[in-house]
This record gives sequence, C-alpha cells and structure tokens, in this order.
Amino acid sequence: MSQKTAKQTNVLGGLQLNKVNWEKLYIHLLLITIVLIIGFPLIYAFAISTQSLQEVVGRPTLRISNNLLGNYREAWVRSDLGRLLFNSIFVALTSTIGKITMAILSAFAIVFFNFRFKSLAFWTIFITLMLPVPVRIVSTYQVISDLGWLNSYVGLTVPLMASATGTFFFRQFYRTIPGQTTETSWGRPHEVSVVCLTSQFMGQYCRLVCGLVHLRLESILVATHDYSH
Amino acid sequence: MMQSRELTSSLRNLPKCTNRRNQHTVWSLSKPCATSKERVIVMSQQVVFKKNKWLPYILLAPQIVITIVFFFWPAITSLRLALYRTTPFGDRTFFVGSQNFQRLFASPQYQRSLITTLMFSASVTLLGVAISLCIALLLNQAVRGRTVYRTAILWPYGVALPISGILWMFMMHPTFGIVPYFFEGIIDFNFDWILNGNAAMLLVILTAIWTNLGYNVAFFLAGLQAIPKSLQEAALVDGATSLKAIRYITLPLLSPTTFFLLVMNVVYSLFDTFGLIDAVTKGGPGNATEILIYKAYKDGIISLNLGSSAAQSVILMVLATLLTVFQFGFIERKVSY
Repeated sequence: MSQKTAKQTNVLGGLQLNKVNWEKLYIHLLLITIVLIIGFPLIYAFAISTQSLQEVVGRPTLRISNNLLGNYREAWVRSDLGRLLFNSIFVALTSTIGKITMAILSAFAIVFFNFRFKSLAFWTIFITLMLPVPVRIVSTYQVISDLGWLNSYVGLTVPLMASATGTFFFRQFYRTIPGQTTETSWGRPHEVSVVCLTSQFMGQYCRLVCGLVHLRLESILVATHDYSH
Repeated sequence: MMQSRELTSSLRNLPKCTNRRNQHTVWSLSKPCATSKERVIVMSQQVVFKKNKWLPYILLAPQIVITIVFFFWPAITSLRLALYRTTPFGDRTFFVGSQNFQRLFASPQYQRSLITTLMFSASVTLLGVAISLCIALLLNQAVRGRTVYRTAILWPYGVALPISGILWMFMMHPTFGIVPYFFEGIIDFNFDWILNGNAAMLLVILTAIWTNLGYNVAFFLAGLQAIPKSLQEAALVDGATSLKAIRYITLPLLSPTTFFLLVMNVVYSLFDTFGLIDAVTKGGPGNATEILIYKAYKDGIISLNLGSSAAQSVILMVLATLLTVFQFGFIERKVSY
C-alpha cells in the first residue's frame, strides 16, 4: 500500500519535472541575463583596462586588447598604487581589529556584570547607532584637528574604532550563552569558558565581517585630509 | 512571634536572589534561597560575575572614551555652533539663537536641496528595493546554482561607492562612454552629465542602486527562504496562479524584510552616498545633485559658513534619530508563520 503511494508520487514528481523543465530553463536564462547586466560595468571596466588610449577614446567596444600589463604598470607607478594599497589595508585592518577588540570587551562587561552605571554605559554606546559619520563630519573634523591628528593614521583609525554595531552583535551572542555552559568543574561561572566561546563565535563573526567590510572610509578620509593645502 | 521574626531576619541575610529590573540572575542563586519557580528562570538566564568590582569599568573604558571624544563632543559642538554665526573671516562668533534655522528654511537653495534629496532618496529606495525583490523572487525559483547567481549579484557590493561612481561616470561619458553610444538613436536623451542636470541625477541614482543591489537581494533571499514552502504549495494546490501566490502569500510574509530594507535604503541614500556625490558630481551641474548631506559639508568646509552647516547637521541628526526610532519600533513586531 505504502509502496504504491510512493510510486504514484514518484510518477507525479516525474511528470512535474518534465513539465517544469522548460520553466526552469527560462528562469536560468533570465537569471544569466540579469547577472550579465549587473556585472556589465565590471566586465567593461576590465575590458577597458586592457585597451590602449586610442582604443579607449575611440568607438567603445568590449574587446580584450593586449595592453593589460602596460596599463597596470603605469597605474601602479603613476598613482603610487603600492602606497595607496598599503594605506587602505593598514587603515582597514587597524580599525577593524580595534573595533572588534573594543566590541568584545564592552559587550562582555555589559552582559556579564552588574554595576552601577550599566544602563548609562549601554545607552552611551547604542545611541551612536543613530548618527552616521557623515552627519557629524564637520565637527568630527574639528575634533581631529584640535587633537592635532590631521594627516595621520591615528586620526584615520581611532575615531572609527567605537562601533555600536559590533558591540550589538557580541551582546546578542553573549546573551545566547546559557548559564550552565559557563560553569566549570568547580561549579562557578568562569571567564575562561566565555573566552573559549568567544573565540568560536569570532570565526563566524569574522566571516560575516570579511564579507561586509569595505574600504568605505571616504568620509573620514575627507575629514582628515587637510583642506588648507 | 519570635520564630517568625527570626525567619524574616534570616531571609534578609540571605544573598539577594534576583535583580528583576535587569532580568539577570545573580550567581548566588544556587544557594537554597531560590524557589522552584526562580530555579526555572535560572536555567534559561545569564550568569553574572560578581567577583570583580572594577573590571567592567576597565573593560568599558576604551569604547566609552572614544564614543565621548568622537561622538558626543562633536554632537554637542554641532548643537552649540548651530546657535552661533561666524563672521566671513572667521575672527568672531556671536550668538544668534534660532536664526540659522529660520534662514535655512527660508532659503530657496535649501528648499531646492530638500526636493533634490527627496527625489534621489525616493528613486534609490523604491527602484532599488523593487528591482531586488524581483531578482530575489526569480532567484528563489532556481534551486540549482542559486549560490553562484547570488555571489555574482553580490559582486558589485564589493566595490566602494565612489569607485563605482567613477565607473559609471566613465560608462556614461558623453564622448567615449558606451551607454550614450548604445542608446544613440534609440532614446532621445542627452547623457551629458557634465552639463545636463537630469543626466547627472540619473548617473548618481543608477550608481547608488547598482552598488546596493546585492545587499538587498541577499536580505530578500534570506527572508524568502525563511518562509515555509508548504504555504505556497498549499495555495498552488488550491488553484492559485503563481503570481497570486506571490501576491497574497509571499509578499505579506516578506513584509518585515521589505520594511527593514526600505529603512536601510533610505538611510543609505541619505547619508552613505556622500562619497559618491563628492567623487562624481560635487553637487553639480548647477545644484542638480546637491543632496542635504553634501550641502552641509559644502557650506561648512568649503564655504566656511559654520553656523548654517551646523544647523543642517542638527536637522540631519534629528532625521537619522527619527528613522532609527521608527525602525526599532517596527522590528519589535514580528510576523509569525
């Protein structure tokens, strides 16, 4: 009896598969078109980067030409790309490491301790979610300038290190740790076990951050660039 | 009598059991003072370390210091500056009260910038969310190769906004761009973003949508996959067309994601697009792409009209706060399947 029903559904599934196949094909064709349209600017940018100046200013084509190495070499030398890349990576890494460290520490304090100014500390950190950097750009510039941090790595990285979002992520994570997990053999909550769990979560968090971190620092770059020049 | 007094005093001497206000359970609860009901609470709740009194302050110190110096201090400076006016040479500032705000709302430039921002934000948000919803619905249909498509669509999100601005600027260049070349003779539109304000606006809107598309699609796809398949199947069995199933089953269940993305896109188009405008059009031609955030920066740092710029920052702060409160208020309500 049960075998029979299984067979029937199988036949039905097979029929559906035959019918649906065309539909699937259309969907895939449509998706490939969409991906090509969305990816077009990047493909075009790559094609252009292989062409010579004459080809670039002439009739626009998607042809891959043979000037790839020459163009990249010139870009590297003329705009001092090595230095720029180093700056980007250095600033991104420093501020990310600082951000994650501070987020771990403060979320740990907020979740696992009871102290007098707990809610004040909580709101001090989380109210920053409401003001994106560009909104307070002018006065942040002034503060950086007052500190004498203009045109320096300190001015670029330190203001970015206090991140409410990071603290929020870690707070949510710490709140999911049940009490028993932090009990060790001697029956008391132990910081070490929290640290272990944190390192586990860091793996997940890093994957998330790596996906999301961009070098979108341009607003702070504007702030630390000295306009008197 | 005596006994009961003894009992209460002994109860008072027991360690404090629960701190209900913070919904935390103090660790000493493992002592026999906990009733069975409270024990249940202990199971599901957090431990609290009591040993060290100063440790939490030390842990919090770096973040709090940075927040105060680079967040509260600039915010207070902005608020204070908004009530003052600086002389053109910057040698004197004097108190003017709310005059900066009054002047701002009376000035035709600010009103124009408001309208520009409204057009820009509405286009980026509505078009961006609508297009990504369609793509996500399609993507949800394809079982095979979904991750490949998703990665390909997420690709532009890895490009920083000013860079993608320059990319599109190049593509829409009036003399050697591929877009005007392709549409020549098809659409009668002047793609010259250097002179034509509408073309500049189109360029900025397209870039902003293109860059954020992957983010929107990723969120929509996650939202779609959280909806149980059985609901849609039931509708299809009942004879609904797939369009009807989407309209009456999928979209209502997807509304929390849609709402979240709408707010995120408004925030994105209002604040994050500063770098794009600065790299591509600098607010021009004329003031065609001068959105509020760019005007605040331009008036403050280029024109050195600090009072007016601070007043504009304050208005933007209020706007951002309202959006955040609005969003947090909505996130609390969740649709259950």
